Amino acid sequence: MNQDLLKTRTLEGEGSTLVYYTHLPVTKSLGNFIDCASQLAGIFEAGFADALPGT
Amino acid sequence: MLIGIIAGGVILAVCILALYIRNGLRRKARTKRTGLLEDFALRQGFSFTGEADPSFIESRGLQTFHLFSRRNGKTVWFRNLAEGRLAGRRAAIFDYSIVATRYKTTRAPGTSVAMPGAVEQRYTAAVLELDRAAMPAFLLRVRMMGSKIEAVEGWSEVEFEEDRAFLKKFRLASRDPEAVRKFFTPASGRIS
Repeated sequence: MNQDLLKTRTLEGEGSTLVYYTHLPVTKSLGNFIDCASQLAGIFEAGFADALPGT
Repeated sequence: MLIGIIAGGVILAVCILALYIRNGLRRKARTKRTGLLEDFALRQGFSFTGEADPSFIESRGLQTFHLFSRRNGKTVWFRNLAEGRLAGRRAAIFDYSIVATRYKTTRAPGTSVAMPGAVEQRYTAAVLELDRAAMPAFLLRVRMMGSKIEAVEGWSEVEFEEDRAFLKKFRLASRDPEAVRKFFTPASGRIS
């Protein structure tokens, strides 16, 4: 996982839910914020596809 | 005496005017932000709610997350909720303000120290539902100045004896450190 996906942001996970957040009100960079969240979701899902048989 | 009364009145008037201007600017900024986020939601094909219901957190089972455990019993506001699907996954994006426990960072390793009193904190957050996952509770943050993890009962920073390189880049905390150590292995691809 690339550090650039987190930057000044935080990622939390539990069960099948990811929460990605930042202290700063995201306005102009909202597209980047959403894109990073989506990429992180992909990384975590791919990890499960590799790790769990039949998934 | 008369001069004192007049001076007091002027000071009071200036204070009221300053408050009025401040509230006006805040309202304007808030309206602008809501408009921008609503536009974004519409472009994404998401639904949008300007003043959302904070019970969303419990309804989605998020109350055990570190962020939502820090509310100190009070949510100030919960706004600009956009809900839809992002790359096929159920997603929600929102603005969130809480009154959280104050904390003090220390030089010692581990979490910060909780302090008396409370402070308002504002966030923009995205919630994503994965199709395939059974993750232990974790919090991941890039290690940098000011990135200490705020003290929350039951949460602690996770140490990795076997992978010091990871801990030089990231801070990781959990309510279940042992499960998280197994989850974030170099082979899992979740860290690098």
